[in-house]
Amino acid sequence: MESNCMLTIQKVLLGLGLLLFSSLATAQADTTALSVDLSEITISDSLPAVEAQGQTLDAALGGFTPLSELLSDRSTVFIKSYGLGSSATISLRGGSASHTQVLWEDIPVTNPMLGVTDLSLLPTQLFSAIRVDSRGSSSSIGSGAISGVISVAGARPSEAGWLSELQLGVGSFGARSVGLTVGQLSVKELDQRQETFSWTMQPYYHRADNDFTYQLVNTARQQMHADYENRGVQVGMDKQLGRSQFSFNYWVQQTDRLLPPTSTQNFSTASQYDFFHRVRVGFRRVGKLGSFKSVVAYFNETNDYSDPERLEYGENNFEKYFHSSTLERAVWAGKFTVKYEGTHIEGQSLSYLENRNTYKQFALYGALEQIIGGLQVAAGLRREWNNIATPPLIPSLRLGNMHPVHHWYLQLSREYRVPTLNELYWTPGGNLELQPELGWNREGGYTYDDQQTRATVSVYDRSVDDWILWIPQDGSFRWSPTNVAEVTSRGWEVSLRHKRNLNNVQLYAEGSHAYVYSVHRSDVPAQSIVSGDQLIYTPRHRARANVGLICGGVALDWNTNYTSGVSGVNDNLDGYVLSDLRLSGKINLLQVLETQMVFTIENIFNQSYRVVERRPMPGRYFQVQWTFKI
Amino acid sequence: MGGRAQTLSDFESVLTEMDTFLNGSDGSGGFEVGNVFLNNVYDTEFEFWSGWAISNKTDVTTPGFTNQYSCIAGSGVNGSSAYAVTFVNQNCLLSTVNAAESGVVNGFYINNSTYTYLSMQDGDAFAKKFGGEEGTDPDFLYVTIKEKGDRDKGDSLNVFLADFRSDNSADDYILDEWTYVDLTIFENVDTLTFEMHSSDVGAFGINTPTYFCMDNMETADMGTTAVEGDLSSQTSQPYLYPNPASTIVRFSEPVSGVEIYDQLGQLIQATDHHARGQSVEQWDLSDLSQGAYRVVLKGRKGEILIKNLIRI
Repeated sequence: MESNCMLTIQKVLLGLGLLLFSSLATAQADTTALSVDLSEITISDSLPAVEAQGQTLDAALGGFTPLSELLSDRSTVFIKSYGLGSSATISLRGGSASHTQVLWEDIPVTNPMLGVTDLSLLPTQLFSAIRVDSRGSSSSIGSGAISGVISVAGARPSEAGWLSELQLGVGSFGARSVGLTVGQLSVKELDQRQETFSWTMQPYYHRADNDFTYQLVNTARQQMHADYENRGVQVGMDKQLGRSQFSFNYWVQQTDRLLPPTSTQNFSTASQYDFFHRVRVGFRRVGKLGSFKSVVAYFNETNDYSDPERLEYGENNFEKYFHSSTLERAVWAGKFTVKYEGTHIEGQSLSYLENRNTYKQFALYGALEQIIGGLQVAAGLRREWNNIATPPLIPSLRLGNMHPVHHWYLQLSREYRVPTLNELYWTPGGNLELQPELGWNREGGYTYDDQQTRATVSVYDRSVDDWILWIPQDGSFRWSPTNVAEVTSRGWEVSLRHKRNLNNVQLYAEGSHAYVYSVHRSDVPAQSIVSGDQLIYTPRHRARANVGLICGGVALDWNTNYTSGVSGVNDNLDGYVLSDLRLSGKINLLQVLETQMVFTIENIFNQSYRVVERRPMPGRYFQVQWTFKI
Repeated sequence: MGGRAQTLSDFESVLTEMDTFLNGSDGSGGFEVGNVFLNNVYDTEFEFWSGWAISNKTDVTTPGFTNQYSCIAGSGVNGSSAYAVTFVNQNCLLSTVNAAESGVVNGFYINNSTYTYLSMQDGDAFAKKFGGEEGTDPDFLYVTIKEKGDRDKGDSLNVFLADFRSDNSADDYILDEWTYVDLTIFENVDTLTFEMHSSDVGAFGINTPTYFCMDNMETADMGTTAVEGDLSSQTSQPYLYPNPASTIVRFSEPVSGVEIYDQLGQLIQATDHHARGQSVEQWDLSDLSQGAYRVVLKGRKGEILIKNLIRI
């Protein structure tokens, strides 16, 4: 069996080059996949019969890399990365980085001072579930979800007993990592009700020198001052007693990184320190007619910048108190949901004026979902009050069918983003008169999924007014955020995936493409913006092709990405193609210890490219990861 | 006809302490020094200044915004302590007042601020080092001086603070010495404006820090002042002859000092300091390239006269 497997692998490898952009193979379907899981996950607040658009990423593909690299490699979103170990933010459907909300255990973790999430600070290895939901979600999620939502959740034991897993990794440019996942799931049957208790603890450490060599026109240069060190622990506990469930999550992380010079800078002495505590406590009770869920969370996060050569220092900290309670009740042919949400944030910064640093928010959300004539209709309405810039009513309406193979949907929704603390309070420049960014989103999609072949297509048309940009003020050269821009974003996302078995080999292939037309509808002379200009750092095209095979304990995966050129702040950047190769193998030792080794070559063709001008990116590099499971 | 009296604004009397600066935080709205007024706008809410500041800071090594008040020379002209520094924008205005109002501004000395100089030399997170990634980019930074109200017409003067445009990289330079700028092309000056131009421009404007430093602003007082001496007591204007000249130019009367500047205001030749105080009656032009020059003649009693000279 094993020799047949190897022969089959050889045959497939010979033709691998022809399969780079192929989306079909010729074998029986098999739903088992070691490295690829593109199945949909139903959003918890939707009816079970409705599959939502989106993409679920397999965290195992990311290894010890941050979430930013996994998203860039395995999806068609655009990640604006400043380099290995440097900050990275997302542009989804032509929106800015502040238009994608990031949820950890259903709690928004977007930095309220900056309005963005640095995805380079999220270690992929911590998460068991990573989902990209590219649709307007302001009504249900709140501010900052204009383009969509990224949801991450920690590991959970899925089988009764102990869970223990050790991960070790090494890689190019001095990369070395260690991670541990331990946990337990216990199940008891008491008086015809089930009691379960599970816990997991995940300490981790990762560091890298990031001293890669990059090519200029006539010379090569080595990246300097780019050390990255990240450490932390994530803890999760769940206790289910009958129909009640209690949960506790805690995540502490410290990141130290040196900020490298640009390609037009002789040296840098800058560094950045990030530290956070995130605590979440949740309760859920499911009854015959509905459910009640309540969550409280506390975040304390610090972001400090230091440049001793330039005598520039920044110290930024915020505390966030968050509470939400959700009641769902079966009504007619569906359910009714009402949610209360409250947030209190206090920001501290050397650049904030005294007594100008708080954000207080209270919101009510109601949604009615019904099945009418085989169609699911969901209408939601959000009303928010805050102490800065209260948005109007935020409605949403979604219509879709419930066919398990052929599914379509339509959505109309209002979207918004309230100003960030920096936009309001930064000195100089902060603008207390700012209003929320407001817009409308129209989209629709179709999915075909027969468990072997999955094809999706979605189109969207979104307009956002009062888009906030920093511009110099009349009569002064002081820059200040202003509701000045009007942006229209249109595009489509298509993907095709197929998998099947050939003898004992599972084969899969996927192709996807995203087209983004995101332009200003009016001139903004202060930023040299002319009506019709594509937003900066917003590529028109992102495409991806992925093929792979799994045979026994061996898996081979080839992934190629294309990103079209963009306009930057200082220069225009050319498009680029990046390809990665991933080889993994599992071995069971003495039927007790399961070992897996993953070898990855990134940028296998050593492509020279830039995502942000003057910010070098690495050529070819490798990673090796060992996982030991007991 | 006699020469006009000259007034030198050297800013030495503005500051009373060393290693300090005035940026308008006292609400003064500007600085009147000699016969010039340097405009200043100070935002009291955000503690932010624009226009002109007066400084005697000496830090020539610290990069970045926190060292925005220093001159790369570490001092004013000829080792003096104080000078003016400006962050170029629409508030960067220089007006003639008192005896020089609507009169002649002879010139001033210009230099780079430490902040701008080091940014061009080493680059920073926002601005490129001049020459770019491999030292070959044709970068430049210059100031355009105009009379207010003549932004789109009239005389203008470009003064380079850095120039990497030459094909010979040995000619690349970033100004780090006080350099004279001749402003006599402007007549009847009320207010001068300054605009910065850089090759490093992005969507948000110029990336290079738009600062420069000024010292020893010289104005000619309006009206006639009779001063005994060779230059001023003559009933006719002294003159250079022949003009144009090829090898030797002579002065109609002896002078105590001669300075020759090119069209960019850079000092090319000057009287040797050993010879100062002695009479000079002619000047050897054989080391000068063909072209137009400004000749500054200093009379025996300190009077200043500026003449155009063509070297053929």
